[in-house]
Parts: sequence; C-alpha cells; structure tokens
Amino acid sequence: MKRLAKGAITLMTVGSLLVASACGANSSSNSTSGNNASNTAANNQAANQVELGKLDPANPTKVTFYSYSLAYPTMKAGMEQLIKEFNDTVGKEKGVIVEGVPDATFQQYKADISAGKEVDVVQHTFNLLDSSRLGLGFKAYEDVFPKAELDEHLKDISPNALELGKIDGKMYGLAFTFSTPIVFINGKLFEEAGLDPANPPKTWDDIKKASLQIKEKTGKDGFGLSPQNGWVTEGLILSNGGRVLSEDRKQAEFASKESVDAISMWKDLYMNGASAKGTDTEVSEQFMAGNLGMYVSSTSLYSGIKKASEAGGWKVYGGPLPQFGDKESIPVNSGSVLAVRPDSPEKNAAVWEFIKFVTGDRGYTIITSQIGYLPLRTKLADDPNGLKDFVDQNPLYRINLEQLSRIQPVAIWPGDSATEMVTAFTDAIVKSVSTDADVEQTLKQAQDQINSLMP
Amino acid sequence: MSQTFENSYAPPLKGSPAIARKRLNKAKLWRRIKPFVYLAPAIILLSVWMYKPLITTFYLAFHKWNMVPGTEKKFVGFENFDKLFHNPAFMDSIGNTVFYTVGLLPFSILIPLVLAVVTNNMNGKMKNFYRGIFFIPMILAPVSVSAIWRWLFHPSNGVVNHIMLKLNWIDQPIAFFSDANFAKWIILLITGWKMIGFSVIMFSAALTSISREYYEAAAIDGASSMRQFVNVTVPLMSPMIMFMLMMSILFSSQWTFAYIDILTTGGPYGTSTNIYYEMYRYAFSNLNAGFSSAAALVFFFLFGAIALLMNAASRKLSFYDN
Amino acid sequence: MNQRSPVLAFLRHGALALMCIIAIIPLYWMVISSLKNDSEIFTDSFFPNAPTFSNYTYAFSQMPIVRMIFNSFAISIMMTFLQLATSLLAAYALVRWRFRGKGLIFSVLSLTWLIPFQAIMIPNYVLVNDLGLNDSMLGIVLPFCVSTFAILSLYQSFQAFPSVLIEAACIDGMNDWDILMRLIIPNIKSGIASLGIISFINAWNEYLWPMLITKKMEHSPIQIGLKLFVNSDTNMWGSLMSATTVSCLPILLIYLLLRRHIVDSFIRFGIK
Repeated sequence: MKRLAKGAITLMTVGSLLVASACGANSSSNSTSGNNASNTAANNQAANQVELGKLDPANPTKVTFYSYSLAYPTMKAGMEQLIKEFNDTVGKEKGVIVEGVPDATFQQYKADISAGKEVDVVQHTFNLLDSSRLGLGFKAYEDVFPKAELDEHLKDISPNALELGKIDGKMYGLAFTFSTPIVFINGKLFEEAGLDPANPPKTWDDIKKASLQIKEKTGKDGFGLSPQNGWVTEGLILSNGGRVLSEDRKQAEFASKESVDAISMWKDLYMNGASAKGTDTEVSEQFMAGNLGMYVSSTSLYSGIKKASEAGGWKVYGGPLPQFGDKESIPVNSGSVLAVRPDSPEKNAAVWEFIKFVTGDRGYTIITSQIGYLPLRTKLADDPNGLKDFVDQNPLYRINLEQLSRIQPVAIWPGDSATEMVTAFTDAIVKSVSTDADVEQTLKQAQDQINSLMP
Repeated sequence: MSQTFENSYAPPLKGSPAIARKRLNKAKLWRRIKPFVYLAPAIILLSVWMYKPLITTFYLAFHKWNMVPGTEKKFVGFENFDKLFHNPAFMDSIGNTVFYTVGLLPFSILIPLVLAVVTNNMNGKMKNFYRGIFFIPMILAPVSVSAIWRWLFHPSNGVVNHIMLKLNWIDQPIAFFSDANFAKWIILLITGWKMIGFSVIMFSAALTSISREYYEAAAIDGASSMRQFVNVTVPLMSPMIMFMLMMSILFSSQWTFAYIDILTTGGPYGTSTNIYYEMYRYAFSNLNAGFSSAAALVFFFLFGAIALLMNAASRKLSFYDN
Repeated sequence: MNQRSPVLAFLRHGALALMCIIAIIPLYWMVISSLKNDSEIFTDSFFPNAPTFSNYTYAFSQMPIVRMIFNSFAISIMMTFLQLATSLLAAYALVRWRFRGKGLIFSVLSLTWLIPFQAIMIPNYVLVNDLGLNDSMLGIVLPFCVSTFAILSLYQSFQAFPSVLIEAACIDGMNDWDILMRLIIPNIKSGIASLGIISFINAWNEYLWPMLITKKMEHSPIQIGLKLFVNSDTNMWGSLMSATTVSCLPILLIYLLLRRHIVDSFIRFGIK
C-alpha cells in the first residue's frame, strides 16, 4: 500500500506533465484532418456520378446489412428468410451477396463504422437519422441511385411513409419495416371482465374505464404502456394537438399545454392501480404471459404475441390508437428506414439491387407475413397474390393500414447530439408519468435542456 | 517491505580482477541493461495499452471527435469540461457514484467482518463449509448473475414479487428495474451479494494471523465477546480493513457497471447510472469521445486524490503492521 | 470465548444458514427454472413437476453455446498465461537486481491501479481497430496481457524466497535465467498456481472490453453471447435460464473441484 501512495504522488506530478504533452500532441491532428480532406473529396466525386457500376455474377459484390430484426427472436426467422431469398434469386443472378449482421441495440453499426469496417446498409431508427447523416457518412438516395430508377421503384409506396425518411428535402432513409401503434387485447380477460373484445375502447376515457373493470373483475392489470416505450408517446402528444419538435425542427416544443395534458392523462392512467409497471419488455412479457388486458405496442410483436396466446389458450384482438375525446388520434410510426452508405459505383449498384428487392412486392410480403410489420406497398393487402389471405386471416392489420392515412412521423432529432436529446426526452416522460414529479415542470426542464443542445 | 534483500544483491562480481577493462565495461553494461530486459515485456505492454491511451485520453478531452476514422478531431479547449459540469445528468451520476460507493461498504466491510469472526471460532469443517458457500456468488460472471436476478425480480413473472404478493406485503407488483425507488437499490444489492463472500475470505485470512493470546488476555480481563470484537479484533485487523475499504471505494462503481448495463441501462431517467456507465454511454452511444474523455479525467484525478488521502489515513490508523 | 451456550450456537448457525441460503438460492432458482416446462415456468413451485430438457435443446439450437464456452476458455487461458509470463519476468527483475529507476517503475506500476478501464477504452478501441483485431480473440486478450496486480503479488512471493539459496546458485555458476526457471519457479509453484486461478476467474468475468470488441456470437465469449440472449424480447425464461446454467457450469465445476485451492488463492492474493 505504500507503493500505492508513492504511485498517487507521482500521479499528480505526472499529471501536470501529461497536460503539457497533450498540447504537443496537437501536431498529430494535422495528419488526420488531412485524411479527412481527401475523404470528403472522394465523397463529392461519388455524389456527382450517380451512375451504377457493373455487377459481375461470377465475382459477386459483398454488402453488409446491419439489422436489429436479426437480433430479436420474434423477427429473426423472417429477416433471415428475406436475406436468403435475395441471395438465392436476384443476388445470385446479378452478383450480390448480402451478409446480415444482428444489431440488437443500434450500437453495432456505430461501433463498426468507427472501427472502419464496411457498413453498407443499416436498418436504422427514425429518430437518430439526422445525427447519423451528419456524423456517420450516410448518403441521400438521390445522390447514389439514378433518379429514373428511384422514381419508378417508389411509385407504389405510401407517400406518407416516404416523407418520413426525408431531411431537408432529400431522402436519407427509405421506410422499411414499419408499423403504427395498436392496442393489443387479451380476449379472455376482456370477456371475464364483461367487456366485448371485438368492440375495443375508442377513447382514453374508455381505456381507463375498461382497465379498472378488468382489474376489479379479474385481479389482473388492465392496461399497459411503458413510459419507456420511446415512440407511442409521441402519438399521444400529437393526438392531443401538441408537437414534439417545431415545424422547422429547430426547437423542441413538447412542454406546450396540449402535450402536458396528454402526458397528465397518461400519468392518471398509469397511477390508477390497474396499469402494468415496468420496462416495455417487461410489460410485453406480462401481456404474453396472459396477465394483462390491453397493451399498446407495434404490430411487429404480433407473431410473438399470437404464438404466446395460442400456448396460453386465449385470443388476441386489437384496436386502433385511442383518441382524446372526439379528436381523431394521430398515430406515429415505429420501425425503421434503410439508410445506406455505399462507397463505390459497384456498391451503389449492389445496394440498390438489395433495396429494390426488400422494399419490393416480394420483400413486403415476407416482412408482413413473417415478421409482422406493415406492407408499405398498401396495394399488396388487397392483392390475392400478395397479402390478401394473410390480412383477411389477421384482421388486426386492417386497423394498422387504416391508421396509415393519419400517420405523422416521429421526431427526427436534429444535429449530432440527437442521442442525448432522445435520452432527455424519454427520461422526462418516464419521470412525468411514473413519479409524483410535476408534469409541466419536468417537461419544461427537459425542453430547455434539449433546446440548449440544438445545433 | 524491507529493501535489505535487494541490497544484499549488489551483484557479486565473479572472475579474476585482471579482466580487461573492455570486457569489464561490457559486463557492466549488460548488468545495467539486464533488469530492463526482464522488465521489458511488462513495461512495453503497459505503455502501449495503459499509459499511451491515458495520454491520448488527455488529448481527446480537449477535442470534439465522433470516433469515426478519418474525421477531424476539433480542438475545443475546456468546452467539454464546461459542458460536463453544466450537465444535470452528469451531476446526478456523481451522486449515484457516491451512493454506490457508500452503500457497498456494509457489504464489503461490516457484514463480512461479522461473518468472518463468527465462523472463525468454529471447527475446521463447518468453517470451510460456510466460507465455501459464501464464496460462490463471487466466482459467477456478471452477465449470468444479471440474468438470474432479472428473472427473480421480474415485475409480473418473478418469484420475489409473487411471494411478496402472496404474503400480502405489497398489493401491487414492484417493477424493480424501472421504478426509481428501487432500481439503484437492486443494483446495489446484487453487487453487494456478490461482494460479501470475497470480503469474508479476506477477513478470515487476516483473522487467522491474529494470535489467540490477545483474546485470552481480554477474556481474563472479563471482556464480553462484543467488547473483544471492538477492542481486540477490529484494531488488529485494521490494516486489512483499510485495504478492503480502499478496494471498495476505488472499485465499487466499476463492479456495478455490468449490472447497470444489463438490467437498467442507467434508468429510469438516469437514476441508477453511475459515472463509469455515463463515460461508456458518452463514448459508444453518443459517439462523443471528447466528452467521455473529459469525464474520465475528472474521475482519474478525483480517485487519485482519494487514494492519497486513504493512504495517509491508513498510516495514521493502523495499529498493527507487519 | 464463552459462547458455548446451545441457544447462542443455534442462533449463530441459524443466521449463517440464512446467509448461505441467500448466497445460493438464486442459483437454485436458475437451475429449476431451466428444467420447468412452458406451463410451469411462471409458477412458484420449488421443484419442477415434470422436469424437461427442452429448454436446453432450444438454447443450444439458438446460439453456438459450445463454441462460445470454448472461446471463453481460450481467452481466459491466454490472458492468464500471458499475465503470468510477463509478471514472472518483471517481478524477478525487481527482486533480483538493484538498479536505477526502480522506484519510478514501482510508481508507474502502482499508478495503473488508479486508471479505470473506461478512461482508456476509447484509445484502446481505436488501436485494436487500427490493428485489424476487432472481433478477434487476440483483440480481447492484448490489452490484458499485463497485470500490475500480478507483478506486485509475485514480487512479494519472490521476496519471501530465501536469498541464501539464490546466492548459492549464483556461486555455483547458474545463470540468471536458470535461477528463475529452475530454482525460483519450481519452489513457489503453488503461489503461481493461486495467482493463475485468480487471473483466470477475472478473465472469465471480464465484461466491458469483450462487449466492445466482439460482434458475432461465433467470436464471443459465453458472457457476451448470453447478454444478447438476455436482451431478446420474448418470454423465453426457461431457455434463458438453461443458457445461464450452462454458462455458469464450467466455473462452478472448477470451483467444486478446486475449492480449497481457489479460496486459498484469494486469501493469499486478494483480487485486482
């Protein structure tokens, strides 16, 4: 231990030396900035030539695809099938091999980009798209794919959905796996409580009544929406006439009266003794175990929930996102866009083939039927060769497709501090809903903090 | 630690005194270099993986950089530090770091000390049995431990909530990992649970070296076992207690890292995070290397100061030193 | 020691037994949960009614468990070996010779205690990437192949070694290398083994760095693979608990076999 003391003393002296040497180390930054200059030059070059390179089936181009769906057991099989089908058909024919990389926490692609690896296509969340665009070298579709082909491909995709991935008029992400919030209902608990699952609660007041009734009659929790859900929250705020970000995305605006009212309503619901507590995962686990009457989440959980309900001997019903009074609710989107960062004409071509496939008719058929997200080519739902049978068997999807017409995008937080902003926003919501903290004050505080981080 | 052994090793020079001067010089040179040859692997590796990175961290703390290769590191002076101290989340995480550090002391010092003393008086077999069991949590890996506790304390499916509901202690299940009133306590509990066994072993080791005569003398004076504990055991064990105290203070926040990451990711609203977890998040989630480095520096110096103080204190307080 | 009264003894054993239960009940719950079938997993029964191994089959089908355990062993053994090798050499040099700069070297070594890994993780991460060692076992091992703790512990054991013997060997004309390899090491074998055990357990439990470095389950130690499984979003507690059981098994087995030795090692050296 005497050694340690000695060490600590030297530490102090060494410390001051180090500060001095840090200034000397400045010189090394020159070389890195030099690198950077040449990099941007390369980028500009790529931006100017929008032609696609030539692919060679004998010598296929490798594309890496970072996907969170690959990391989740309920979605994994579907996503793997999607990739495999591409590799076996179009990929084989044209010369592209896609390698899927599971990315459960949206950290992997960041880490791998900073590790200098090839990260070509990322299944990217909406809210961090701007910061990735700025910091991680993601490209706009207009800059890397030919306009004619792009227009042709996007023709049949819901225009509302296409808007979601645009920043400053350019598309940095093409809506991919995509869903709107839905109220999952445990038919058995509903019936036991004397409610009709086929006639789901329409307003938040109805939800509250139903949840209390379920708790009283069955002893199980009536309603579940985790304060940490990260996206449905925004639907609540929008539905009550509030906003998360201002129109020009320069200010946070979620401490307005409308938002505060929406969150206060939710707090009341959360505190009424009939609400499930816990993280989003824990609440979903509670619902799947058959111990929760209603659960608001994305349809992407449908395949897992359906399986659990069959094992547990109950039936799943669904309802749209509830509304405030007689104002029609405004759902937001969950899920992801495909963000791309190809770095050569060959890569452009290879990535484009993959994008065309997975967001094409066959792609969405797999995504919807195997994973549970919405078909953004909405025509597919009525196409007997497409998803008509599936949607007829799973009427839940109709609710979702109807909501698509009213959908608004989740906030894409601006600048390179987006992650901090998301954290601050989510933290404030959790605090407002799940503790005694004053809603208005908490939201106001977070709003100020976020505005101070605005670029 | 005495230096006499080394002194006695002033190298014995072999051979006749008539060796040519040149050869002597060569041998002398080799003798000079020899220690460093043996030390080289350790020193080189430490420089590459510890000290050079530390210097780089100093450098990064004054820059803004998003860790993407080829991007510019922008010099920003003290801006990172300035932002750091105006960041409420960072200040909260300091509070939590203190919470974990202080909260762990009962688990690393108090309970183990009692357990060590109680088992010390038992016969060999019982003693080994108990100590062997206490030690098991220590060897389990953090991820496995987290998985188990997450299952035990699950809000709707966990056995702990089930039992408490059945016993009517609570009327609603508790969401241990997402309720601000419980999250950091559960992290503390898990860390402490894992820590107890290790401290018991360390204290037991120190106890075996205390001579029985002290106790016999105290017993003759009519001291109760409580008094013996306070007047004999604690003072004689003080070097080990100080050592464990220092370990506990320096490392407790490190030990909580894995549980925070797996069980709460610092939530709800940052109430269970600590400084090390924030550093990790600044770097690998926010991709803000400068911010993370600045936080690292602040704590590097803070802990350095604490270690220094502890050392001074331990020299004053230790009654008994080998 | 007038605690002979049976009531007191009973109380004492009662309290200790309670502590034991607290120490191992989580493990017990893990094992029985892993054996419960789907309909029983959410109940509180303390014995599985119809034990099943289906959870294990599922867990093994979902991830390359054997491969990951192999990785864990490979990584831990490499780290242990390298730490022992570097620290034996360094400790030998520190004990054997008096030389200029020794005090400084001790300070430099002690100082590493105060460097939290988080303070050097970014530069190390960048370095490993530059070396192209991302997602490789070597990348995990390299930053951990020196342990100052090991050097200082061995330094103390070496000091306890009788100097007369070394002097005698010197006079016999044994060279420095042979003194280390043939004289000192064989004589403090058990001390080295103890240190090795501690290094191994520490390496096995390493969390942050392997998490940053590994990307694919095939290259991960069991810890990180298990973490990916914990994060998945369905109610597969049975299979999660079986995967956890499997991940604990190797280290528990080693502990059962070498219990005395392991406990002794910790007594002798403590932990880093």
